[in-house]
Amino acid sequence: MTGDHDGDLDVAQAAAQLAALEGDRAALADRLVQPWWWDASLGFLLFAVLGSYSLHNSWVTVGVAVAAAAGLGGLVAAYQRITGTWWDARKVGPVQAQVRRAMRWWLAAYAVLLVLGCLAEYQLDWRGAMVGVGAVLGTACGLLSRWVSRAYVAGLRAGL
Amino acid sequence: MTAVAPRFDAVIHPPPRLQICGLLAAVDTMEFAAVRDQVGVSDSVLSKHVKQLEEAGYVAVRKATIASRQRTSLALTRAGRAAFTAHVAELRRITEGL
Repeated sequence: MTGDHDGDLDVAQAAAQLAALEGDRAALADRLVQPWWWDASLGFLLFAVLGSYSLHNSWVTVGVAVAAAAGLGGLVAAYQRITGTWWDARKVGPVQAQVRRAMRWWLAAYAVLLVLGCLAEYQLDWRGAMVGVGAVLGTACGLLSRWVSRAYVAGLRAGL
Repeated sequence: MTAVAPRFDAVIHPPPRLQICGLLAAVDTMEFAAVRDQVGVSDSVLSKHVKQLEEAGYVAVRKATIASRQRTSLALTRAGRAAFTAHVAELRRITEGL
């Protein structure tokens, strides 16, 4: 990179600065991927909340939801402590459109499965249906979290 | 970034500040210590550059006490993102012939 001067950049200096910026983004990408247990924990929290519906006890569900919210806060804090960063791939970074599209599909699938699970659990009285839905959505949530990180990091490594 | 009007920015141009903006542009927030490690400068040097970016309205500094430790996080403001994007566009314009 070049020294501190005003506006008289030549082609070589500008190219060097662009290359340095791309190098910095690649180096940053190396620290952004969370450990595997982070995604597993996220998926488990969702599974716990949805699975608790099968107990047919509002107090248990509320208690599990509160504990899951606290767990989510802990995961956010852990991520920030581990990586020193926080980012929302829908709003910043190189794959915003891709992630927003994936999130729309995720929310649609989540809503459909949630409704179907609740119908099965409460209307058809299929005990344990929400455990199954929780397992499917929890696993999908963990995998989606992993995918978002991978896509984000790949986007950073691909350059400016 | 290519749809932005290229504009050289003298505040962002010095290498450490360009690096800081480049890192912050890729995330929502980044802790001071993480930026320092990535840029490879001392606390005091980073503070000086951050101060200049903050005075230009390009960087927001947030301090929080977590578990009795003070943590400082940095974020690019909207103006900072726009200025950085325009500066990178200017670098691209200059290097177009390469």
